[in-house]
Amino acid sequence: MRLLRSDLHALTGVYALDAVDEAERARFERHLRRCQSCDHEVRGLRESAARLALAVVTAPPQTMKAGVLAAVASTRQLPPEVGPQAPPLLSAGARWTRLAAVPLAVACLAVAIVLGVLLGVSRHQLGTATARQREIAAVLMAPGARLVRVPTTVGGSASVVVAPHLHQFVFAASGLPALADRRVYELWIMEPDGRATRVALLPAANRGRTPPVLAAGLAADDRVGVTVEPAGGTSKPTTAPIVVIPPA
Amino acid sequence: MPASAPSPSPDTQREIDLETLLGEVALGNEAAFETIYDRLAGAIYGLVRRVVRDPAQSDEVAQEVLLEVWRSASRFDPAKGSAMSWAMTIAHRRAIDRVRSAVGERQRDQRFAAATAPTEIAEVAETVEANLDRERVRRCLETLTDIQRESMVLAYYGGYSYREVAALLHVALGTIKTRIRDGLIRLRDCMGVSL
Repeated sequence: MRLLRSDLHALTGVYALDAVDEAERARFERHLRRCQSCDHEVRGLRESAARLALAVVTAPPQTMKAGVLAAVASTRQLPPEVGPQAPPLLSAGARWTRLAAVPLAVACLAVAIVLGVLLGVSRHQLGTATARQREIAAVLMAPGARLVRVPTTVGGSASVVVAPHLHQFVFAASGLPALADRRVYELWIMEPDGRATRVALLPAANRGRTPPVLAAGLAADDRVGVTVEPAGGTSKPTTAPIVVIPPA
Repeated sequence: MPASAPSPSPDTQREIDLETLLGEVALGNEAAFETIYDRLAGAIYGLVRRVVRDPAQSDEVAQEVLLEVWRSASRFDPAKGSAMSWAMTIAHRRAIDRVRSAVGERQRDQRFAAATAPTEIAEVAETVEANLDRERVRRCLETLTDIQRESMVLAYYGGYSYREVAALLHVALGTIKTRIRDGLIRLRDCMGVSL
């Protein structure tokens, strides 16, 4: 049976509830790839459907947790989906993966390459990324993302890319000198009133580049700072920051 | 949600959202997975149990779903929807696969013969009522028309295809498609689901 396009569109609801047969599901998923408004609608309807699951929450058998955790310990995870092919479950939004993979839109490509080079993320990495790297790439390519690059007092420079609506930022640095006595570089979110929240210890540099760190929770007036701290880091900065990056 | 997650470190005051946790799980973080288990196992098990019915099979399917969350965490894309909806989609599809597969065949036939729409709906209403926290969903379901509510309950909790729902309710196929879509939209508006 051949469905007219308008009929296909009416399937958004039953598709979101998985109430279609295999053939219809496949046909509708092909349609979804071309129909952005349908895709958007399906996503919204799925969110409502998930709420229906919350209505029937039931405590699982006590023994299940131990069983699942044991299985997890011996089960290999799937690599991230790369390239244009996505599983049906997630097919519609393969748009993003495609953006990040090789055929980047020209504008994005330029931005990604510039930021990628600055932050030490190669284009190859953007394409064949782990989930974490994809999150980083998402920040780099978010609409309105801004880059601030500031030299540090000990040499080298530090960069922050802020993606405003994601409330996330990516920090990276290059040319930071290696530290003696197992001291570490520690990254902070510094609030206007002087309080500092520990974000992370910076990973060791690789050929002069400090790999990017992804963090969340940056408010509009916060700054990002780095201090040098004793081994293991501290809960509050104990030295003057080597760099403070203002909000973009 | 069944329980709130323990703070993973003193640095984090806010409860970590499921999306972030899934990102950690994708990197092989088993502790993050355990937190996800604590937060989602109840909803996953409840949904699977509702659709599959048979306790032994439900246990099996729920475990498969949870393991699938672990295995395919790297495939989750927050740009496409919430982690909750991603996990519930996996759970619902697995449950449906089970009742539609040969394993479930015999049982399903019996169910078709024995279960009439009203019992199914009454049971769901009961379960929903038993959960104070689910009051909102219940209230929202009440704002739907009978046919919207019945067709959604049969399709989602019953695991029936819309053709089967149409047959059960003696309503035209086109009507079921529209009613389910309208019902979900009303539910969405009523519950303030963002997107």
